[in-house]
Amino acid sequence: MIQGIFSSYANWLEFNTQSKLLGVLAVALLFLWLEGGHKRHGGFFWFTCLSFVLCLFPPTAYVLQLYQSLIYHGAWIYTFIPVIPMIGYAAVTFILEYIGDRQRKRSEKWVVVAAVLIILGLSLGTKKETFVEENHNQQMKLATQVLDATLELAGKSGLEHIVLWAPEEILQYARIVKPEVALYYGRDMWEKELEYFTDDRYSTECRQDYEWMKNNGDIYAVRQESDYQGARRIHNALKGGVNCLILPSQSDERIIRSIEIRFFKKAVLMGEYYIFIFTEDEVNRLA
Amino acid sequence: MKNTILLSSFLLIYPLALGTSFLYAIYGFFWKKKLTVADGYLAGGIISIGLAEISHLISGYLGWSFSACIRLLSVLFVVAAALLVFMAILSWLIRVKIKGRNRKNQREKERRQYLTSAEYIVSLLWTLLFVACVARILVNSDFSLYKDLTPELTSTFLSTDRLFTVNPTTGGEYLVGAPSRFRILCLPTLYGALCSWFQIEVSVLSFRIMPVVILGVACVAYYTLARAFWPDSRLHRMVFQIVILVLFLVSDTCEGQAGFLLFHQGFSPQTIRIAVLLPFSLSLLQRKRYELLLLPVLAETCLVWTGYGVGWCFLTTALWIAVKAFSKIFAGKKGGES
Repeated sequence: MIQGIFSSYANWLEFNTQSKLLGVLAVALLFLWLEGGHKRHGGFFWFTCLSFVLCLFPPTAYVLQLYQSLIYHGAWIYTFIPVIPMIGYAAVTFILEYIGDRQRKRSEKWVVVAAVLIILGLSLGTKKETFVEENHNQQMKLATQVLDATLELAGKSGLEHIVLWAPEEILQYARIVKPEVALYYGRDMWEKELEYFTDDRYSTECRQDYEWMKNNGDIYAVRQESDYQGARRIHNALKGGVNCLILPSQSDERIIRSIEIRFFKKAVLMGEYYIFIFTEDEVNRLA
Repeated sequence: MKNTILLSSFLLIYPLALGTSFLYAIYGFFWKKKLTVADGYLAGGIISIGLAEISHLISGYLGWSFSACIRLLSVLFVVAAALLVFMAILSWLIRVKIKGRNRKNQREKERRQYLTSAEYIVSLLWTLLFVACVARILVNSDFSLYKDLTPELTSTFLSTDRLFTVNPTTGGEYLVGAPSRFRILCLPTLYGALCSWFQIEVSVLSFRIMPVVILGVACVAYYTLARAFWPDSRLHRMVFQIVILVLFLVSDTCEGQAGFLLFHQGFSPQTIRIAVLLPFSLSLLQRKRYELLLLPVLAETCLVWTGYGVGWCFLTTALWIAVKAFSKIFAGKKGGES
């Protein structure tokens, strides 16, 4: 409970780094209050104030967090406040009724306009990089090309059902663009929030395989491992049903050669990736 | 391209026809000025979601295939539209017979008011901004799959022809299963049906078409809110719409805010909740159309994972009513003292 209350405060800080909208909302509410604009639509004004207070005060914020269900990040409680409608309402009142008011002194208007411009000129927030895939289209296109090549190779090898193990950037689009391909593990491996959507859990071995694959592009991390460890991981994946393996071309050459020698397979280079296909017999024999 | 145009036309015309007929069928005799075509469009969209939920639940409960689920949804769409249009025509005929055409003519006259020069400029500015927002969605490629499984689920339903037997993240059979609260969410079914009817790829629907459509629907929802604030001033409403689009663009840095969701996750149910259902609820509350509030509250339950089926729309309604009741009591006491 106490921890939850403290986390509400942390969420508030996090939200304010990403966006200054709540600050602008506070200015909008103050402006409407001072200008008497709140009287016209009192219900909306007081509702916004109340929801704002409920989200700010840590104990009520924690209750709201429980209400919205814990699958969402704590900062999502701020979506309950009608931030955009209220700022929009205040902005229209400001533009058409405050600035447009001929009885008001010009100097007074200029001071207020300057204050608003200063607020708008300040940084309005910083995007958290983990939320957004900047080169989404490019990534998806690349993933589709690699998957097409993999499916073609698998078809030539007579594979009907494909279970793929590949780096994150391929796996995250695989189920959208090629739903016929099954994966060794999915997006819920690295996006913990998606665990709420399934009762299935990954084994420790599978998690270790994920860590190995994640570090595979990192040449320095790979060099610390022996090629035996890499082979063990691949054995483990084959046991888990994997029959298609994709490794980034930045992988240590040692690993690629060792797989080729240990598993009697020749890697196919496709753009920035090496592709290995294992037939059903090979999987049974090697695993 | 042809299919995209057909789908866009369907998404424009069907909810409009369905929702307007629904409102006319209900309020045919008592159509008040506070309800508009925009309300009809939003109500139609929500009814479509409701129909998708019905077919999703029936198919899930009876263990039908996904193609059977789509067939049921097609039948429901046709039957609902036919029934509501018939009821609306009946209601209109009775109304014309009883009340005559005077009121309608008067309303048409009101509608024919010309735009002033200021309104022309403002509407031009709004159009430019809207086009900029659409371009932002179509040209930029900074989408986010973060915390959302809708595209994966849609692809999985379509490829396996089964509902919730395959884990959407891996494509393997479920070992334990999925939580029941997750299994009742119907948006993937609706998207799957749209992909199947119009032969469109899931990735195109999710990352290209739906974000633009939902941006448009969000503008409609905010228009209803603007109409609730300024029923008589067109200029105020137009400026409000411009400010809203600017705020969408500004708020795209912040997780959970409407701008972020519209520009980076326009396909997700969260976007519909925050950019459409919440402003629509606020506009209904502002206009005291409490009976219609059931629509956004139920839509939220069908789309988004909420605790015990009650989400932000329900809480907004409850809190708003509490604020109103409290202000009445407070005003009564103040009056008594004076």
